[in-house]
Amino acid sequence: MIDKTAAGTPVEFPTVIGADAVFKGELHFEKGVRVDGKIEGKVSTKGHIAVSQGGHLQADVDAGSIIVEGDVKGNLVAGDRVELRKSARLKGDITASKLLVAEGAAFVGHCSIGPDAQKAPAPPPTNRIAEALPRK
Amino acid sequence: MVVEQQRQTPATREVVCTHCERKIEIPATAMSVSCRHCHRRVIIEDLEIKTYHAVLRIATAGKVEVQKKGTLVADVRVNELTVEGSVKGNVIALDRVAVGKKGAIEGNVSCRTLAVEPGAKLNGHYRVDPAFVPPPATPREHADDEIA
Repeated sequence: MIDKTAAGTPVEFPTVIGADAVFKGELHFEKGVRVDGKIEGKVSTKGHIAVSQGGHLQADVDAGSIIVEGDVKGNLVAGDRVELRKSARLKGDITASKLLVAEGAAFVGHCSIGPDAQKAPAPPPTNRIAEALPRK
Repeated sequence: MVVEQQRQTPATREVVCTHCERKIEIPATAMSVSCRHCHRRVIIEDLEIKTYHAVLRIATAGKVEVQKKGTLVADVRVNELTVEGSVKGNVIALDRVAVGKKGAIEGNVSCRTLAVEPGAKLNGHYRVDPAFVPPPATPREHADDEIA
């Protein structure tokens, strides 16, 4: 069970999505949530989101900090930090000030980490051939 | 009295060929060898980048450590990479990439395990998979000027 950050700071989750629960849609939490079940859609909170080892998240997440021990498919945006623990499986992009990856975690996606990561989002892909052509 | 001469067997270690990804046993002190599977030259040397270092590519079956004041501009194919300074280029690590709190990587990274300390700056596409099998080296990477 997730009850501490990697730094040892205790974390409280007023809401817990149980192991047999499945939510679909857009969810907003004021303080924080721990996901032991499954969520599909979009999740946002100012606090912490933790995905437990058996938890599945197929959603775009916007949160203060995100801790992943389970499976996540979707983009993660965190104001503070993203922690991927050793059992974490993530497919999606990460945008955060800090990233902590434990050895053993699997992750595929674009990574934008640093204090300026959220101020300057990644530029959209450009057509290099069109750029190289002389303008009329 | 018979004096037995004890033969000291040279210490060996096992590395992974940067071309064919197969394990080869080499003398512990070797700097470069020929892979006995693919017969290509494999550089084993461990590298420490202490200042600005810009080359086309670095390929070694050893470790590369980019220190605090080091900047490495290159495509990197290594066994293990430790970044305390900055790296600009694509990274393929057969084993592990570790980024310290003041480290920065700008480029795509593929590796088996990734360890990132808070404060590190990362920008690029990441593929971190404990079962990651690196793609075969491109023909240009077979050139002997891999370490400049």
